[in-house]
Amino acid sequence: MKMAGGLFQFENACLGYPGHEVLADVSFQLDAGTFVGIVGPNGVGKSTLVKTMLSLLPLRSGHMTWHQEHARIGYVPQREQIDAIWPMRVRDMLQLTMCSLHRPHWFRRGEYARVAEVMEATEITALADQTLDTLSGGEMQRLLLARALVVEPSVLLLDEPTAAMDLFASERFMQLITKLHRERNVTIVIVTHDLQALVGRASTVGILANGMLHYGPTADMLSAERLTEVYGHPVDVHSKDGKLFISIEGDA
Amino acid sequence: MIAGLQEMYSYSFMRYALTVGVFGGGMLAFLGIFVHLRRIVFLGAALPQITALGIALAVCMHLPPLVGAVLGGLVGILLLSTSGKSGHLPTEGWVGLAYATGGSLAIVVLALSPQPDAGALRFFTGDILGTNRAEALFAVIVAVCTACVFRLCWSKFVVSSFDPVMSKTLGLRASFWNALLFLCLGFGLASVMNSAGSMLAFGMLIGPPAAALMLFRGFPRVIITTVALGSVSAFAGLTLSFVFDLPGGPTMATAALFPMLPAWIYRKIKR
Repeated sequence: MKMAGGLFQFENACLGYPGHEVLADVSFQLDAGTFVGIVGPNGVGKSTLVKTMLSLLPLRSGHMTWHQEHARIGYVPQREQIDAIWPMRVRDMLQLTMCSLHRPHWFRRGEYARVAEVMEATEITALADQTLDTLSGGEMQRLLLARALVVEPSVLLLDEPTAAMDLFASERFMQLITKLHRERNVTIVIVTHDLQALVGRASTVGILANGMLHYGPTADMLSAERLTEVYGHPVDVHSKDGKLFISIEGDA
Repeated sequence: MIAGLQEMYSYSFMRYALTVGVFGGGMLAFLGIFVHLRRIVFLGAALPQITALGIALAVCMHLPPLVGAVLGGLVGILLLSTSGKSGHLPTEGWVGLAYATGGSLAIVVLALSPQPDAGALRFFTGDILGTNRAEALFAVIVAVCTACVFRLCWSKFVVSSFDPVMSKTLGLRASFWNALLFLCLGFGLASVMNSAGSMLAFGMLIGPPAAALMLFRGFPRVIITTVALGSVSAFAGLTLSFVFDLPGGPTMATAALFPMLPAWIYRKIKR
């Protein structure tokens, strides 16, 4: 059933591959303008969830609904999925993505401004003429974010975007996401292992564990008891100066 | 020298061979950019073998070899694009099987053929000088059609090849654009294979784009260099084969692969 403000909904959905169920009875509503974090141990079905939301995998049963007709999804994959041997400059990739959306498939004059604006928003203007193989991990990830934004998405779906990034690049990227969310009211769904990065940013967190999706307000979901239960290892959560800190107790 | 070239190309068989070399070679070189970037070079090697099998079957059944080349290329594309989906054997395994089966069966089928037409066997020896007007015209038509399709839909081909997942989220039908790319590849290979054999077809598909990708890091320069190298090497190879009485197809293929050497040295020095 569609609820007010709902952008996307799973109803009693079973997700998985032919002959293999990964997530059972998932019911979840994504509201427009929210920032949602999806977390969970390796192999619990985070990528399956993302692929299903992108319609790359069919539902095994239940219902999945995008309430906005023609809702455009901006997808930001892990940078490892991108092949940097393609002889493209940063600017080329964004222009090609834009002009692939319309007919004829040539770049239109007014779209230069759109590409420039997105490059500025994602802080890659200085990289415009660099080719893909010269970009660092953080720069490539910002380019992938820009590519997702250039099509003016109503929702951004990010699949472990900060995986394999160093601490500073990761924090910078998360700050950028937060800024885009606040300034442009873009709905964010981010799959991550970095629980700390969600604190103070995500309004809702979904935890995948034991074939189920549990979700709720960030403070409730990122509690010591729940995380300990999900990860099967003692997790300590404490607050200091109004911030939450998450750490693992003892040897992992 | 100019007079010598004029005399050389006053013969119609030389002009037809040059037409196939320049148009077919330039087109295959261009398509080879995608073969390299999508990392499907082995598929590019297997397709000519299946096309060769198609030609051999056509010869055996007394059909025009061109019909066999086109059908062989299309069947090969269909088989290879749907292979590897069962999960029991990786795609590379299927491609390898196609390469070995196509190449060996083509020879067996020709050996079983009661009286193969000598002219129809050109694709084995790479004797491009036997090209006729219809074959040259076919190569031109395929090259022009391929150029038009890519000019109109360039961004679709690049986006769907570069990141199929992203292209699906944009609403692009990646499978359709893949099929169209492979269709162009199938017709392109058939047009060159029929006249000059698998050696020239594969040489053009691999050599010029490899050199261009080593030299440049931007699509416009890579494309211009690739097509220019493909066409110029076809001209140079054909001319050299005439002057030194060498087999046309293999000489053109060698000329197409030659730019790899200076490009590789340039890349090493630059690094």
